[in-house]
Parts: sequence; C-alpha cells; structure tokens
Amino acid sequence: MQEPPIGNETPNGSPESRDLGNKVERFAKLLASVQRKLFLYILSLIHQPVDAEDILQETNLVLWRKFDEFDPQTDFLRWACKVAYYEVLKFRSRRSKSEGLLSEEVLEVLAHDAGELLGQAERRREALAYCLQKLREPLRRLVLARYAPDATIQSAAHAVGKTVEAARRALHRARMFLLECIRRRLAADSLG
Amino acid sequence: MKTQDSFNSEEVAHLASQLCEGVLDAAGVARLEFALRNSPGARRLFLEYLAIHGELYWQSSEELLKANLWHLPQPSVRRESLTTGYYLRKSAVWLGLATAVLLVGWGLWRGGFAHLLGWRSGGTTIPQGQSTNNSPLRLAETGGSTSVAWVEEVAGAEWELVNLVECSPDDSGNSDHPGESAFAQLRAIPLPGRRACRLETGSIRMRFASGVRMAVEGPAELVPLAGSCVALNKGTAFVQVPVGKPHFVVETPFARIIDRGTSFGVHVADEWTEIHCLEGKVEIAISVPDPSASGEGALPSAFLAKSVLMSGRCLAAEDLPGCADDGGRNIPSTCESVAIVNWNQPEKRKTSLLADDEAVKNLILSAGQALRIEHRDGKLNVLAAKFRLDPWPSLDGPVCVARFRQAVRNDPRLRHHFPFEGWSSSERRLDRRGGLHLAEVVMFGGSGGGAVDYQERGLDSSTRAVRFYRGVRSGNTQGVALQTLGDFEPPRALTVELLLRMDPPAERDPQATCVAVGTRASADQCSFWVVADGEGRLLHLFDANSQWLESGIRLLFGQWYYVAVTVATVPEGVKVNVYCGPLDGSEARLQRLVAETLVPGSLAKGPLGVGKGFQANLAHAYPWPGAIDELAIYEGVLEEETLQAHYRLLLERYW
Repeated sequence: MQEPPIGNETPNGSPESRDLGNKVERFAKLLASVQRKLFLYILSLIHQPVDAEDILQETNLVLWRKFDEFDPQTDFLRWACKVAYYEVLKFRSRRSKSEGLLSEEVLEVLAHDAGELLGQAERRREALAYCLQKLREPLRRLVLARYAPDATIQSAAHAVGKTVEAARRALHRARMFLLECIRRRLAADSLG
Repeated sequence: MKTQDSFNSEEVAHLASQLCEGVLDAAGVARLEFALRNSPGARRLFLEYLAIHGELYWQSSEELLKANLWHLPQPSVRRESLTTGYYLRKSAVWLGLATAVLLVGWGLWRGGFAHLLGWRSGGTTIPQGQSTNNSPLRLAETGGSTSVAWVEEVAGAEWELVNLVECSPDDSGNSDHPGESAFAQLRAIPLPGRRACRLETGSIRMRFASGVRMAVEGPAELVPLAGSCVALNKGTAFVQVPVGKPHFVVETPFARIIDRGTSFGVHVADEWTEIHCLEGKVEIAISVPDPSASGEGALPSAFLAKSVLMSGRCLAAEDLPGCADDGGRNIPSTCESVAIVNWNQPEKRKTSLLADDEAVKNLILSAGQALRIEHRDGKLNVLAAKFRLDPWPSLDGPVCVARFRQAVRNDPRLRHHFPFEGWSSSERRLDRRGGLHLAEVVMFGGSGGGAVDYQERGLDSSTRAVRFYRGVRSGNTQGVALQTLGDFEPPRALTVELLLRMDPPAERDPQATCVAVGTRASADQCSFWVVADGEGRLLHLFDANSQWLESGIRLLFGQWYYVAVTVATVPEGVKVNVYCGPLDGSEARLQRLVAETLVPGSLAKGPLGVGKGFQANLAHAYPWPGAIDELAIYEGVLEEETLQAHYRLLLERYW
C-alpha cells in the first residue's frame, strides 16, 4: 500500500499569545494600582468628575498603546500622569472657554502640585473615611446624597429637603470640615 | 498685587466649591486663576478640596463610611454605577460571576440558546450574593469615539480582545485553587464606539450604555456602534434587553436584529446566521445581497457592518423601512412561505425565499422560534423553525474548561499542549507549549468528502474542539485527522490527558480501530495511548505484537469524557495507569481503570497522531470518529490527586 502524502497545509501562526498575555497582565496590574490616583489627578485639573472619567478612559487607552515605551524601572504613576496631562490638554482644546476651564498656564502649575499631593493619596483617603464619621448627621446625609451614584446637587437637595442653593452652601461647609479634619488627622499621624 | 502667601483661603475654597458644582462664572474663574497662579498655599488648598471631591465621587461616601479602611488592601473598590476603570480581583465573587458567563455561553449552544437564563429575573445561574450589581458601570450614553459599552467579566484563558482593551487571565499563580486564576476580572473595561474587537477564545460579558447586557463567545468579531447598537460580524452572542429600555440593534452581515423587549441569541458564521428568540419578540430585517456592491455577486462578510460604520450612526428601529410595529411579519401567520420545521430535521423543509419574495425581509420571531439565514454564492436562504425552550433549571452538567486549561498550563511538567483554540484552523493546530504543531492528514484512499471540523463545540463556551472525519466509501474506511509536523520524542515517563467524545463509527463494525492519540516508530514499535474499538471499548497498545490492554470501560457515543493515561518505562516494558470519567452525565466520577499494570512495549518515537493512528507501514489510519479537546502531554507520571483535581475542575457546578 502506498502511503498518501501528508497534507501540505502548514500552520502559519505563531504562539505569541503568551507574550501578549504577560504584557497585558503587567499592564492591567499597573493600571489597576494607579486608577484612583490617576482619576484624582485628572479631576484636580478638569474639576468635573464625568469629564475626568472620560479623560481617564482615553488615558488608559493611550497608556496601553504606548506601554511598550514605558520603562519598568521608572514610576508608572508618574508616567501615567504625564499622559493624562496631555489628555487633559486635548480635552480642554475641544471645549469652549466659556465652560469655566482654567488656563493652560494655571493647569501647568496645578499639575505639578497635584502630582506631589498624590504621594499622600492613601493616607488622605483613610483620613477621609475617619472624618466622614465625625461629620454632623445632617451634613453627612447631604454628602451621602450628593455622592450617591447618578446623583446631582439637585437630587441631593431634594433628598435632604433643602433648596439647591442651601444645599450647595451646606455641602461646601461639609467639605471644608472634612478638609480641616483630614489636615488635623494627617498632622496627628505625622507626630506619631 | 497680592503676594504669594497672602491669599484669601475662604474665597479660594468658595471658588473651588463653585467650580465643583459647575456654577463658577468667568469672573470667578479669573479670581481663582489669579490665586492659583500666585499662591502655593492657594493651590494646596484648592487641590486638597478637589481631592475630597474626587475621593467622594470615586468611591461613594456611603462606601467610605462603611469601609474599614485600615484593613483595606489596594486597589480600592470603585463606586458603582457611574465610574469605569480596570480592576483585577480574584475573589470568589468574581469567579462566580465569570462562571455565570461561562454557563450563559455554554447554554447558548447546548440548549439552542434556550438555557441562557443566567440573567433572567428569577434565574439562579449567578450564585447568591454575586449579583451583577457589583460591577461599576457608567451607563451614560456617549457619542463619538468614547465608550459605548463596557466589558464586565472575562472568562477563558485564551482570549484576546483587540482594540486596546485586551485582557488576559490572571495567572499569577497566587490562587489556592488550581485553575482559579483562569478568570481575569477586569472591571468595566471601556469599549470605545465604532472600533472592532476580536475575541479569540473564551467568553466576555459586556454591558452597553443603554443597559443592555450581552455575552459574547469567542471567536467573535464585534463592533460596538452606539449605546444601543452593536455589529456582530462573527461569533456567538446572547443579548438581554432590560424591560423599558429602547430597542437594541444587532447588526450582522446579513440581518439586522432589533429587539422588542426580549432576550435572544445570535450566531454568525461565515455562511449562515442564526437567531433564536428566547423571550418576547425580536424583529429581523434581512439584508438581500446586492451583486453590484461587490462586483462578484457575493458580499464580503462584514460589508453591512462596515457600511454602518461609514454611515457613522446606528439606525434606530423606527428608522428602518418596514421595521415599524406594523412593518414586520410574525411567523408563521403572515409568511406562509417560511417553513416552520422540526428543528432537528431542518433540511427536510428548507425553503428558498428571498429570490422571489421581497416581502419577507422583515420577520418577527416570538419566544421559541429561530431563524437561520444561509448566505452562499450571493443568495440567501431563510429557514424558520421552532425550538424547544427547556424548563429552567435544565443544565445538568456545566463544566469549565478554562479553569482546567489553566491548571494544565500551570503544571511545570507540561510538554505539549493542544487546546485547539484560535481564530483560524492553522492557529487551532498549534502546540501552545512545545512547538510540535499539527497538520491535517488524509487517510489512504482519500478524504471521502470529509474534513476536520475546527468549529466543533467543546464542553462549554470557553473552548472549541476539533472533530475528525471518519467515513466509509466502497467498503473502505476513509478519514481526515491531524498529525504533528515533526517527531514526538517521548520521555521515559509521560502522561497523556485529553477530553474526547466518540461518535458511532460509520461502518458500524465492532472490530473497528479508532485511535485518539498515538505514535508509531515501526511495524513493531507503537504507542497507541487512547484507542476505542467500534463499540467504544477503551483500549491501549504499546507493542504491536502484543494484546490490547483493555480498560474495561465502554465509552458511550456522543458523551464527553476526561481520559488520562500515564506510562512509565521500566526494564520489563511499560507500567500503565488509565483514568477515565464522564463529563456530561449524571454519574461523574473519575475512575482509575488500570492501575500500575505492566505490559510489553515501549514509548515510540514518531509523529504524533491526533485523531488517528498508523498502520504497520506507518500509513495514516484508524481515524477517530468524534471530537477531541484540550490534549496535554506531560513529562512524568502525574499523581492521581492531580488528575482528580483536573477532573473536578471540569465538573464545577456553581449553584
């Protein structure tokens, strides 16, 4: 019997998916570790959380695109903030000046200071959780209402039975209380 | 002019507050800018204020209040509903959710979409306490190139999603549970609109801006077009549209599927598209190919999706001609030419419609009805059918190949791994560990018109299998199977592990020889690790001049089994262990059928036949009638505990 020839179809792919998987894994872990800080950084420049989220998404995509350029010996957060900064500028250039955006000159100095503040982000977050417990009940209810998912200042005002303007003022008082409380907390921590 | 440190902190804070609330006017912006430009103290206060705003937004204040942050690891949990981002989690909660995806996808096929009840209200596929509410999602409709959908869960170790949202399994090896890390939970990965995604293998679950949920099973190619529209160019998807949401549209190359408050499954293959309506109604606008569009009579598969892309928007249901409430046709009352057939025998009643009946382009399917659109040579044939909606719960053997696969990969003894996954047939023949790739081979006498089927359904949505061809022509057995391009060099001890299904051999000969995996070096030297006779009796052979080693089990035709064979070379021959357990029956138990049995023979060096064996003259022979998946070859004898663990992974149940 004659042996038939083996089909001449040759696999033409290459098993590179493992390398890609490793890269993706490294990227995902790095990205996960900086997402909150990155959001805070962007928000400090653009102020509106919804806009900040959009920029964050775009930043994530750019980070992935440029991930091959990232030097693993360097700080991923610092690199990500640089990318985010340019995304903020791009976003800003698409918006009209009448939308309450800060000038590029101010953004530049803010970006520098914001990057430094990120070093305290974890301690500040812990302090915030502590200080929220210390907030007076009416203000705490307002904060809860304002920062509930999908909430607006209008919905928060309605939830606590205030006018929108009164709710704004009260919310400002709450934030100022939290700000001072966090400062005290961090100062106390630093004293040991 | 104020100096650096002489700023009014109260004013800066007040301006920051107005900025946060979006009510700062131009004069306020100017005042704020002046302070920020000139005073480090003002900048510090401003940034601290914004940081509070951001933290509260990122993680709702309620969560912050509840959280015992002193013990919380990084990264934080993101607030629900409004935000997006990447998160890796390895908790059982996410594992369960991923499993739910698998089950959903599994049901897509096994039950003709009818089992896909994981997201139905009242369904229990998602384990208790693991509701999808855990996923943070941004549901606002967005336009342009911003995100219109988010990937919520990922299951399956092999998948790749192109479009800069690639995910991989977390195989960091930190899990106590073998295979658990097969599931990566990247939370709410944004999918920008109008950019193609390719899902190589595995499953993803995604949510659109409109709130619509969709499970996609790889390989698939899709393009999120808008918050309520997706183009599915290839692959399998299950869509569930919440009550009260606007119409959701799935564009496929030859049909536009518009939900009418429903859940439905859709499968798009190269030459056919199939839609199953599970709940409510679904409207289907069939696209008739336009020969002038391509100049060759047949449309490229992604033509319509591309045209939608080019148009830059997704048509709403009411925009579609004939898609208004009175425009569609209910099957069968107004479409007599559409055959309602027994789904099990559709070929008997197939009816060609569209060439002479333009009016049936728009059809309405009700729950329990399915439509198959075949597109070949520029012509469409449409076949409607009823299918059986199995009562819930009816999944009697959900399995999880992705977890098993991950456990296999994690074993350092793995030498060759054939998961049979990939976008193309050649990719599916790759050895993912050892580089001993496979090629198709045709048995003596020709293929007889058969071919290897690389689209064969595996055990669940995270896997595909290959089905070999075994047929009879003029009394001779013919077949098409796979064989390595190079020689397999066996170590002194090895383990062969695979999932397989045997179908009845065409010749109905009890003495038939069907080889699942084997090598042969010469007329005398062979290693037929996994063989079955014509009645399914499991056999093994390591010396061509010796008797078959019988495992004492008979494989039921059509049923999936896990089989592992360990062979160790000893001076007297080889010592063999054989394990076998069913995967989709009720009596799931891995049995050690052969224990440390000494038989004559050796481990033969030669090409590795997968779905085939070799005659004495090394001609291709003995094709396997059925399917094989996840073939793994290890160096050394794997312990029974390890094999039992692998088997258990394949049997995990989640409710």
